[in-house]
Amino acid sequence: MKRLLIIVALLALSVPGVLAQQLQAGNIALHWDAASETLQATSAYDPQLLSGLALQFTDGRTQQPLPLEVESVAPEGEALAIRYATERPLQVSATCSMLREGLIVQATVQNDGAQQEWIAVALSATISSSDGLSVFDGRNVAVEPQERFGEDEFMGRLQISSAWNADASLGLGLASTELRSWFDHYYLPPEGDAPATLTTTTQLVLEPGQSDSVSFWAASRPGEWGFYESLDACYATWPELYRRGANVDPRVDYGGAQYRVWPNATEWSAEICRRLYAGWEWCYAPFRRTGDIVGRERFWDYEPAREPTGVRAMPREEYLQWRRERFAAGQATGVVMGFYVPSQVWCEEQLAREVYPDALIEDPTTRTLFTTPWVTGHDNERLVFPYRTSFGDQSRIDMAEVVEELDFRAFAFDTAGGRGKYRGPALAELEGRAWDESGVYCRNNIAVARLMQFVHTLQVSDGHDVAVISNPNPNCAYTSVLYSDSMMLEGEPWKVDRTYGDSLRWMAGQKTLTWWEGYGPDTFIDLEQASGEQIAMLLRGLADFTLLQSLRIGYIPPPHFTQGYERLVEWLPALTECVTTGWQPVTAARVPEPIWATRYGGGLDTLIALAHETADTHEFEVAIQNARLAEGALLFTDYDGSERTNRIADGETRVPLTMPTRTPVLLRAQAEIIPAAAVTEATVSADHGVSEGVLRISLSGDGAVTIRPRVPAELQVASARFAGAACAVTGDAIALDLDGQGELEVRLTSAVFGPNDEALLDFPFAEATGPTSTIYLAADAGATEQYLAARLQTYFRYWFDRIEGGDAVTIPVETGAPAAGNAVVIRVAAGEPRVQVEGDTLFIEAQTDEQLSAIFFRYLRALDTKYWTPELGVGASWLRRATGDKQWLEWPEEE
Amino acid sequence: MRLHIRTPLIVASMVLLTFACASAVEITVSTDPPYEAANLAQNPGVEEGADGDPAIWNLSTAVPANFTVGRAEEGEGRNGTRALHMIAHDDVMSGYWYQSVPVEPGDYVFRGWYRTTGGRMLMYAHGRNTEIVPPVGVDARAFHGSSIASFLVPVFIPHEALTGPDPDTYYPFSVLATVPEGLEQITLSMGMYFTPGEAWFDDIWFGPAELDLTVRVTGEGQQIASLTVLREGVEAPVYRSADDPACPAGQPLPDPFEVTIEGVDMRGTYTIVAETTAGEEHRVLFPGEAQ
Repeated sequence: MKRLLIIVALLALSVPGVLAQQLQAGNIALHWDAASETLQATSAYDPQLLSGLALQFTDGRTQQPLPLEVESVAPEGEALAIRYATERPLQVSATCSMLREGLIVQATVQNDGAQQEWIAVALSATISSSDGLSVFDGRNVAVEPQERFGEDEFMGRLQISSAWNADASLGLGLASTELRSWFDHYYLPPEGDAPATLTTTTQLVLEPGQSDSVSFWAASRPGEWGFYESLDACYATWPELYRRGANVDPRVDYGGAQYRVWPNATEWSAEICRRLYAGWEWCYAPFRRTGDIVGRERFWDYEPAREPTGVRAMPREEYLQWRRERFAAGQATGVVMGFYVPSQVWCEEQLAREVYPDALIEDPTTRTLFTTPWVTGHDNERLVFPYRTSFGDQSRIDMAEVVEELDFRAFAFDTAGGRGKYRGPALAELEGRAWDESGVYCRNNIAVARLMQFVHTLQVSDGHDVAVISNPNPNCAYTSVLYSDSMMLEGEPWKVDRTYGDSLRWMAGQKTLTWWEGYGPDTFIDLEQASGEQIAMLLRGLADFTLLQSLRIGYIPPPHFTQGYERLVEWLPALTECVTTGWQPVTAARVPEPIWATRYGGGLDTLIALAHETADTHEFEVAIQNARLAEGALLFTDYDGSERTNRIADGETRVPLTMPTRTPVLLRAQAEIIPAAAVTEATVSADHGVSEGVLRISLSGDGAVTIRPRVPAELQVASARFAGAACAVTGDAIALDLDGQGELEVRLTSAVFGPNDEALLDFPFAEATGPTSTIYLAADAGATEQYLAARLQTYFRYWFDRIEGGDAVTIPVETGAPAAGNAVVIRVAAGEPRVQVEGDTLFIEAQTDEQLSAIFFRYLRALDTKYWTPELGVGASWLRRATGDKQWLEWPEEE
Repeated sequence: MRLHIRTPLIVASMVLLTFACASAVEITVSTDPPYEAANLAQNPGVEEGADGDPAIWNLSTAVPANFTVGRAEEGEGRNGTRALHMIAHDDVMSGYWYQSVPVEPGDYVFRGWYRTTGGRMLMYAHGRNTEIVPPVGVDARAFHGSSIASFLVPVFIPHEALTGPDPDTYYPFSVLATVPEGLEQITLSMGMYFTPGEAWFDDIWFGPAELDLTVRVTGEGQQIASLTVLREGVEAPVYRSADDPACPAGQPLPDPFEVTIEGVDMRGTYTIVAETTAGEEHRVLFPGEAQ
C-alpha cells in the first residue's frame, strides 16, 4: 500500500483555494511536497494535535492493503487531485477540496475487473502528542484513553469523531452527505514508536465495472469546547442538513400535538394546540393493513392475525371516507397532519411474503417479525426493505397517492432508525453497501434515507414540500436524522438517564426535537397509595426536570407534559423560541460546576439557558465569550426583559446570578456594543410588547460606541435618548459618546400593530355575558379570511366557555362594511399589513393570505398575555387528584 | 371460599407456622395439598445451583448486555438464603428470569417475593399454543415498581412523595393465571420491564389458585379466646371464631382448636391471630414466615 501522507507543516494559511499544489481548507492547509511525495498539512490552532493524515485502501477479503503508488498530484479546479497506479484491475483516485470550513477528502475506486470487490477505505489522523487528549468516538467520550477506544457499533453513532486538547480540536469522519451502511471511528493510543491515531473507516462494495466515491471530512477548531467544536464545524459545512428543509411547512418546527387532533379533533383542539405550541400531529396508522397505506381494493380483504376492531373494521369506502374527514378536520385545527407510516420498513406479513417477497429482510441479529399487536393491532408485521424493491416502488406510488388524496403536509416516520440488513435480490443494485461475516448487505438506513429524500420531492397544494417528521430514537443510524425535518424522542427526559436524548440532539443539529410519552407517575409511585399532595410533589418534580432538560438540550415538551402544568405553560414560549432559534453546540458561556449552560442562536438572537440540578442555591457568574457570538459585546436581560447587570472585561460579558434549586434562568441578548472595550458595565432591562417596546441600558464606559439593540420582528427603532438627549439612529444602530455613566433609553414601535398594546389587548371582543363586537368580512372573502374569523370566534368561545366556565360566547360574523359598534375587520386588502385599532374598529389587514395569517396569529399570541391560562384540559384522574379544586397544577412559592 | 370445621380432629399435615412469640401458644397452618408439595415451580428458593448460577432458572432477553444477573449471595435472599438477582442497566430492553412448568386447564397462582432498589418489574405467567385452532394462551401479569433509586430523588422527587417499597424489604407479588384447554406448559417470568433498576426474587410458588387452609391452635396451658384469619389488604376477616357457630360465645376455644377454610385464594397473604383469654395476641403469617 502506498499511503497518502498529509504531514503537518507550518504554512501560511491566508490563501484560499488551490494555488499550484497547495490548498487552504478552512483551518487546515494542505501542500504537496514533491520531494518527499507527501501531502503536507497543518492546523491553524495546534501543530501538536495533528501530525499527519493517511488515506488507506484495504482489500476487504484479504484484509491486506491495496498495492498503490501515487501517479500524479495536480490542481483540478479548486481541488487537489491525486491519482494512484495499481496492478489490480482498479482505478483509484482522491481529491482534496474545501467545502465551507471543512476539508473534504474524496476517495474514488472503480472496479475494472470481473469480480465483485470489497474495499475498505479509511482516513486516519496521526496525533503527535496525546497529552491531555480527549476523544469522541461518535457517541462516547474518553479522557486520555490508554487503549483502543471506539464503540465499534454503527447504530447510534454520529458519522464524525473528534480528538482535542486544551488548544485545538480535530473533527474527522464521513461527509454528512454520505449514505453508508457501516462506518467505524476508533482511536489507537501511541505504542512504541507508533504515534496515536484517530481513524474513520467505511466500506465500498463494487460490482464489475462499478465505481463509487466516498467523502471524508476533517476540520480543526479551538479546543476549549471539545467535540462540540467539531459538531459546530460539521454543521457549518452542511448547514442545510442540520435545519429542516427550507420549503417544508414551518409548523413542523413546533412540538407534536400528541393526539389532541388525531383521530378525533374536538371543538377546542385548535386552541389547545396553538396555546401549547403544537405544530404537528402524529396521525397514527391511518390505514387498515400495514404496508397498504392507500387502502387498495385488491389488498383490503384478507385474513389478519387478529380480528380488526374499531374503524378498521369498517367497509373500505366507509373507512376511506372516515379518513378523508379526519384529515380535513385535523387540518382545520391549524396543525400539520403527519400521515403515519412505520418508515415503510414494516409490512403486514402475508402481504410482504406473497406480494413483496424480494423486499423481505432476513437478519438473525434483529427482530424481523412482530406477532404481537402493534401497528394496526390486528396484523403481524414483517421487516422489509423499501428501496429498489417491489415494496419500495409501491411505497413511492402509494405515498404520492395519499398526499394527492389527503393533501397533508408531512409523513410521520415511525421506527425510523434504519435497523436490519438486507441481502435480498435487489442487493446488487444498491448503493452504500457493506459486508460482514455473512457477506454483503445493505442496511435499512439506506432505504429509509432514500424514502425520506423521496418524500421531500412531493409537494402539496400550497407549494410546500412534504415534510418528514420521524421517530428515530438515539440508537438510530445517523442518516435517519439527516433527512428528517423534525423529530420526537419516544420517551421522557429521564428515560434511561438524563443524557439519553443528547446524542439525538447532536445528530439533529438545529432541527426540532420533542419529547414524547408523558409523566407516567405510576412508574414512580403507587397511585392508589399516594395522596394527592404526594402526586402533586412528584409531578412538579418531573415537570421541573422536564423544563431543565428541555432547556439543556433543546427539546420541546408536548402536551402530555404541559397541558395543565402552570410552570411549563409559562415557559413554553421561551422553550419553543430556543428550539426554533437553533441549538448551538459551542456554548461559549463559561460557568462553574455544577452549573450548566446551553446556547441557542447567535448575535442578537442569542439565548443562554443556565441551571443546576442540585438541591442548593448557587451564586456564580456566567462569562460569555463575545468573540464567538458577535462583533462587539452582547448585553443580556432575563428572557422576559427583567434587569440584569452585565460586566464587560477581557472579551467576556459576565452576568452574576443567584440560582435556587430547580429554577433555571434564560438570558436573552438585548443589545450589542461595539467596540466591547469601551464599556465596563451595563445594567439592562427591556419591556417589549407587540406594538411598542423600550430598552433601557445604564452604561459605564468611555469613548465612542455603536449600540445595536435587539429588535423583534414586528418592531423597529423609533428613537433613542442618552442622558436625556436624543441620539443619532442609523437603521437600528445608535451612536454614542460615553464619558463615565449614562442612561440610554431606546423606544421601539411597530408599523403593523397599533396604536398601542393597551388598545390592542383591551379591545372589547366579548364579555362573559355575550359578544361585544362583530367580525366583518368582505362579501367575497376568501378561505383564509373566513378561517381566521372562525379562529377568532374560537379564541373567545374557548375563553369564556372552556376557561371561565360560562356559556359559549360566539362573536357574530357579518359581511360587508362595519356597522355601528365594535367591529373587527379581517380582510386581504391593498396597503401595508396592519393590526390597528381605530375608534371602535380593529383592522386586521394584509396584502396576502400568508401575511394576514402571520399577523393574525402574532396578535393572538399578544392576546394570550391577557387571556392566559394553563387550564387546557386536565384529563388524567391522577392529575385531577394532584390539582385538587384547582384547574391546573400550581407551584407553591416555596418550591 | 368455603368453611369446614374439624375440631378437635388433628390433621396430619405439614407444619407451616408456629411460635409467634416466646409464650407457649402454638399456631400451626397447613394446606391440603401441602403448600410446598403443590408448588410446581422448581428450585423455588434458589438454593440449588453452582455459585452464581441458579439451577432451573434462565435469563430471557433480546439484549443480554443490558443485564447483569446471577444467584445472589447467601444472606441476600428473603430468609437469609439465596435469591435470583438482576440489574438492568437501561431501558433498551426488558429481561426476565424464567422457567417453564407443566400445567393442566384451570386456575393457578404465580406468587413470590421481590425486593428492589428501583425500576419497574414485571412478573408474569405466560404461554401460547398456536398449533391448535384457534390458538390458546395465557398472559397474566403483575407490575411492581419503585423509584427510590432514581437519579431524580431527592432533588426533583422528594422522599416525601414516594410510596415505593423499602429497598431492604422483601414484598409479595401474586398473579392469577387461568390455563385454557390445549395449553400444556406455561412460563413463569420475573424481571425488569424496560427500565433500569435492580431486583431480587425469592420463594417462588406456582400452584392451584385455591387451597384448603387448616389452622390449628394449642394454648399449652393458656386458654385461647379467639382466632381470626385476615387477608392482607382486605378489611373483612376470612375467618373469625366469634362468628363461628361451633364456637360458643363467651367460652374459650377448645384446645386444641382446628379449623379448615376451604378454597383459600392463594394470591393472598394471610395473618392468623390467636388471642388468649389473658388478652395476649399471637400472630403468624401465611405464606411467609415458614416459606
